[in-house]
Amino acid sequence: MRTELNQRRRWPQLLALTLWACAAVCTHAQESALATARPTALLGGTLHLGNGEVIANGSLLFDQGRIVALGARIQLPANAEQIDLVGAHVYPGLILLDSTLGLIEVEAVRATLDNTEFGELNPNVRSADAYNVDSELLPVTRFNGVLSAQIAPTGGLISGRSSVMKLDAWTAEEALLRADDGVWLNWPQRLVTQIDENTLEAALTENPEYARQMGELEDLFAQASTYRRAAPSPRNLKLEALGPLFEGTARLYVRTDYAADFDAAMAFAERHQISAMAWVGAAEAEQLAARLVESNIPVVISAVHRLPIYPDSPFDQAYQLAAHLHQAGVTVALTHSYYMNARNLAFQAGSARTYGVPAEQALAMITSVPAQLLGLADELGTLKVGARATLFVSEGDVLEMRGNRLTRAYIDGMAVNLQGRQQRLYQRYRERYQRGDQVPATD
Amino acid sequence: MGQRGCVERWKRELSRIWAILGCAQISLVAPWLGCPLSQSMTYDVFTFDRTRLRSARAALAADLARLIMRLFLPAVSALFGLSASLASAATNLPQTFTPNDVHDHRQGAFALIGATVHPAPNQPSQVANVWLQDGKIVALNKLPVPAEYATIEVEGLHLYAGFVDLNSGYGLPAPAAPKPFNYSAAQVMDSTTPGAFNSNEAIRSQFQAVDHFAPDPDKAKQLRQLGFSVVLAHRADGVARGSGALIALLDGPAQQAVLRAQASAHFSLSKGSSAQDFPISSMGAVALLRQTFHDARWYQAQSPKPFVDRSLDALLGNQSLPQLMAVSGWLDLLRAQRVADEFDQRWIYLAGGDEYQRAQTVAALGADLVVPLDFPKPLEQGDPALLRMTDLSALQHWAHAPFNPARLRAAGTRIALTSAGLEADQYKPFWPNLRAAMAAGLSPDQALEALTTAPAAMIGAEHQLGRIAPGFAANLLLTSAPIEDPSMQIYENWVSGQRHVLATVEADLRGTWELSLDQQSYRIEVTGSRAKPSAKRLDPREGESNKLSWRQDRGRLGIELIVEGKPILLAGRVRGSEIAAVDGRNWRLTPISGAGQPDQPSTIFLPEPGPLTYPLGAYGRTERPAQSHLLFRNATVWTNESDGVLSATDVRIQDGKISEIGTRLATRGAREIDASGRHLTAGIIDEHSHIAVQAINDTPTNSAMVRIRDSLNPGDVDVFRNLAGGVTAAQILHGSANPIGGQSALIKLRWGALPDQMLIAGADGFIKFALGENVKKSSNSLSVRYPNTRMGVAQFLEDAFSEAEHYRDQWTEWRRLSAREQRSRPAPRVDLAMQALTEVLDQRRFISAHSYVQSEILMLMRLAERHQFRVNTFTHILEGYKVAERMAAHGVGGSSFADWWAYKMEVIDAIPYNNALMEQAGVVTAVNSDDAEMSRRLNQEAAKTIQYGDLSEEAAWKLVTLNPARLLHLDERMGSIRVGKDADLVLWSAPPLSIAARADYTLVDGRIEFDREQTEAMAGAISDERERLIQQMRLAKAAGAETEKPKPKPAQRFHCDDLNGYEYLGASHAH
Repeated sequence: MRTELNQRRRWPQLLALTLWACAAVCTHAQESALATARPTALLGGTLHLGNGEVIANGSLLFDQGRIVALGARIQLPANAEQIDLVGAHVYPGLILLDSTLGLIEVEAVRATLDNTEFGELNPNVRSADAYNVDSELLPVTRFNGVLSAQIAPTGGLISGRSSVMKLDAWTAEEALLRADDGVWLNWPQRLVTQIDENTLEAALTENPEYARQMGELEDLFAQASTYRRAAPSPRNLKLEALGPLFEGTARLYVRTDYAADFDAAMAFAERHQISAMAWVGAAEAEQLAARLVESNIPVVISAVHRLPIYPDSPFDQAYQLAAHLHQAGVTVALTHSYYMNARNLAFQAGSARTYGVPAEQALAMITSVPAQLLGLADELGTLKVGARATLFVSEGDVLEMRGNRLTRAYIDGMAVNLQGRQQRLYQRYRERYQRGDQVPATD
Repeated sequence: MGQRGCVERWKRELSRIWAILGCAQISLVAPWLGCPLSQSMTYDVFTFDRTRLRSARAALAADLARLIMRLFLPAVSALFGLSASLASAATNLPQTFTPNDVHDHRQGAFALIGATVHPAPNQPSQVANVWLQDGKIVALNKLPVPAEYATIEVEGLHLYAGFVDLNSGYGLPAPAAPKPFNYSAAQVMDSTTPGAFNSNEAIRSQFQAVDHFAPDPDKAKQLRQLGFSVVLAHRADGVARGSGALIALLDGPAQQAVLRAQASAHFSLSKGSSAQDFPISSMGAVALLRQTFHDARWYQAQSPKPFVDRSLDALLGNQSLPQLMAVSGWLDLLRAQRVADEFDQRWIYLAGGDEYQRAQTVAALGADLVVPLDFPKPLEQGDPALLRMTDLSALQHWAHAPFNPARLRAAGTRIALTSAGLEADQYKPFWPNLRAAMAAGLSPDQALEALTTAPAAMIGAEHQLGRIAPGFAANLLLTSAPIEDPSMQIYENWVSGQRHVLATVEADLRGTWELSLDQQSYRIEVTGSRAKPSAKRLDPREGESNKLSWRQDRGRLGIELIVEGKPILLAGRVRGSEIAAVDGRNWRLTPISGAGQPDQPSTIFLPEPGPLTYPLGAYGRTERPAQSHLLFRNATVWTNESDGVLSATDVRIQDGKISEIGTRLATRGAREIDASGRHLTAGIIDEHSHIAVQAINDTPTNSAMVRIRDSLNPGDVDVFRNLAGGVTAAQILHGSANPIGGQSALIKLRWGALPDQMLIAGADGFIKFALGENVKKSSNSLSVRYPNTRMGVAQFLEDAFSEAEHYRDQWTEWRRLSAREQRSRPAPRVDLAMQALTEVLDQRRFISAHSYVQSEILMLMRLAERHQFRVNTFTHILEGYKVAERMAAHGVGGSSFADWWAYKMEVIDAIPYNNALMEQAGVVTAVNSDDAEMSRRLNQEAAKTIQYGDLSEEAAWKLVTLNPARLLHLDERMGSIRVGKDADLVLWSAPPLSIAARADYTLVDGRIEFDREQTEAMAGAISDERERLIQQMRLAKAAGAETEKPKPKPAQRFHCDDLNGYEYLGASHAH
């Protein structure tokens, strides 16, 4: 079914074909990116570059999957397709960090879960080996501007390795932007919930496994460091997988909300000479702000839309966290990890903006900053010459529910069909009501 | 026998007593004089003493009793008569078998001479003699003591009545540990208890403590050391726990210790060790208890009985006894009181310890409280992370808890004090905590009352226990000082005339002494505790040990040291700080340093509690905000009425209502709020919320009898956070674990109010239904509960409503009978679940049905139509868009998420356009939360319908205001800005549907419940208060208080199929 037709022209035809039976089997085939044959120029919109800058009434030209020009005035090749954007906004594709998209389809159905492997220490497992490029979650997420995602395993102490994926592709291999960019460490919980046998009251108590778990991590990393130098035989997949951390070619992502944990994690990283790390979750990051700045460690706030960490925390603590960290000079990225509503990533930034992050900086927290973390700063997250043409056009402010309305999206310069199954169902039933089909009889 | 013979006999017996007592005196000294000592040897002269006295009593018993009865007038007999209902402990047990010994009858006649007697709280003390006999107090006077009384000189000491503890498990087997309920296990729907007992095994009224009681000498000793002589013992297991027994803390057989076999009936709102699932929540326990009381009445009226229920038999049999209800705190107490009010029950509450938070409210109930002294300990501070997890409210509770007894008493509640909760610490904190409670304002008389006359009166033993007066049980505490004296020590505890010596009355001789003996001098150092001093020689000569034995006993001093290989034994007498030899030898002790220092009473650290806020914890307030006269000036007003959105408009608020809308309104004394550039809207109403509760689910397939009202917790900080998000009212729904869930609570977010004050007065009743995966228990592979399919759900509901119709018919028929006929024919059984369903049938209670897929949505509408009622609301209703016109035709509303989907199979077809499609099809549509985080930005969720489905901003705004008000039948009072409507309003910083909008003010009933500026200023105060309390804990520790590890509670958040909502359970995304 792959054609060279511009996808934008195809989708009205597809709408005519939106039959339920088709919806079940039609996955990305209709929706996948298709290369544009000629250079494309987006003219006269507001360009939000993602790095904090805005070009009002600017234009952008891309060709062969890359941005080739942008600015208030640009030279257009004769064969360029010209798209007039008056009043609309152009953004770099939003980047979703720490996501299980493509690993979880239906949370309640075990057969659809590929996010958590058995065991505590799984540095060897790779999300790239399981990522489902045809997941129904992807069109839903793209719809609001998320065009790339870091897919990370979950669970255990070391969940595995993440890879960065395009959110539209024919195959998982084609989707791959960067393999094995990070190793995911869930810092051992110092406190666990215990139920009192008699009162059935839950209380947090010290994790009896903590010392053992820390010991295992220390041992694993110490041996991995040696393994890298000695390369013994037979192979050890776990130790081997940690190698890039010592080379600085992969980042260690530490998931925890607590400052005490991350304080320990920083010492751990230092001990094992791991240069690239990030703090994910990070509800208590304000406590370590100065050191985070000093050590140049970025923070990934796992959600702005969450409750304060403690009952007696300031009621708007989670809303204000990004602003406070930003003011302190910390490098901050935002994400929205929970898979079903990853589409609300932009609104995390919107709320961060409401609570004090400068407008374009809030955008940067879901574009250029994540790209930087992923080692893809030249590729993604910023509208600049040479970067991938992974970007979209929205009628309004994309960080607002009232404004987030994508009219076009491109991944590597290929137009993305924004209409997914949810849109097809909508059309189908809206038309039904418009036709005035008969109300089912009652008995 | 004539009078003269009698007197002769009397004299003779007196001389015998003196002889025996003399023997005892000698025996005190004899061991030191006669036996060589070693350092490791211990003497318990009192054991010896008691043994001798016991045999003496044996010899005297029978005839002495007769004599004294004759000599001490018929009045004494009359007094004895008064106490007839209390079994007499000192009366020897009539034996129905041949003793494995000779008979040992005794009378137990003693006179305690010369003590300062405190006969009862608030009565003046007097120096008097107390005569005891037969376990009773015979007289309290200054008369010479008749010869047949063994006298005990207690001059300078104090006598109090022994204490009574109404909350004890003394002598009873510990209940089995409760089993945590597990949603992933096979359900246990039936009782596992063998026997013809109640069908719910948490109803254990058949349990009689007296049948299981076995004296526990160690525990009795521990309790006596505190001053208790009598306990009311019950087994703390079950919702109906059976009867308690009144027990004297005697050393003796059970038959003798039990004072009243059936002394009380006990209840709680916790199922205890019952293996049966229902009830897992206290609201379920309320439902069970209410049903059980209905059942008992019905069962009582049946003749012949249609079946045997030994639990109900026992419950009915115990009705005339004092009824004690164990509660976990003030919230539980108010919950239990509703049951009491409904069934004319008078509970004596076994309180939880936090009732000070609502002392006035509790006092207004007029109930008695048995108040614990198990105050929390200051927290260890070694682990800052653990400490940080501890909520401010827990720190505040630590500081306020010692004030609990005093504040309750001051508010007018009669209280008793209990040692309950201190078992784990071997009761060591009892006296320090009692002293803390006194330091916190409980007067010595109030404390004494709470330990004696008050508990006695609560259980109807005010003529037998709690006072030193003729006819009362001979329960006496012999103390060194009045109880308010921090150095007070209890020397003896007499229980029903049985003497228990707890401590000796010894001078404090610790320090360094010089012993002069036979021209030699020895330096001796006495160390150790006052009660158990030990000593050594400081200057042993070469080859000599520094060992030295030092015994103090009732003013006698025995010293043994070894000089030149020979033991030297010295005996002396101690009076004050003077020591004199009594052994005829010439020796002398001269203090060198420190000797004779009195014990420093351990200081009681009383924390500075800080203001009492409602609730405790962050953002609590010392009082509710007032209903002020307010004028919002120049606002953009979203009326939700035909006026639409008005710009530059003034809105006046008076007496909790919107009183005027217009431009350039006169101030008229109103507080003006400049609303220029801001947006005034009706408050957000959340149709589906689970905040402000302690639990949301119980387990029965039909849980219609369960009421969320019984679970409300107004102190949940999410109430405040929701106010900060502009929410003013919510339907607090039961969870979705069951096809028929519990009854909703419609509340306004009145922060810091009482649970019942949160309820919206006059609101219609609502009830949760649920369909689909949750009620089929799809996530539990071990489930055995019917129904397992949507087919089964349909049949279950059809059956439930058919039953309800039958139930309604039965009652209708009975109500039609004449009064005379009704008397001869007992009323049908009240079934609370069926009652709720008949309300649904009669359209007096309205269904909010958790539902997802179209098949089940259609099924429920058809079912309702068959039974002539209307489903009020489908909640979640993610496939509502597929059947929207059918829903409109039925007249049911839809209340949904904006964009949730994918979390389970039944939400695969969920689309964010659902709300717009339903709305456009004419369904009254709302956007709800089911989530404490999302509920505080429902304005944003409503805005998603603009993105998905192109609703207008005004239509979108109604989804979270006017439409939920309509769904909840509150639209006449709420949901729009119209004169006369409730002033439930929000002033937004930006257009309400913008992500930039923040609630600057949230008003409920015209009270400013949230004021952003003011609240932001409080953030520092909250952390300061934490720091202050942590500092107080440091001071407490420095003052010697024992500390404990923080045991913070994990945050509790509910979604509709959660059990307890603890976040660790990972259920946070199940809906």
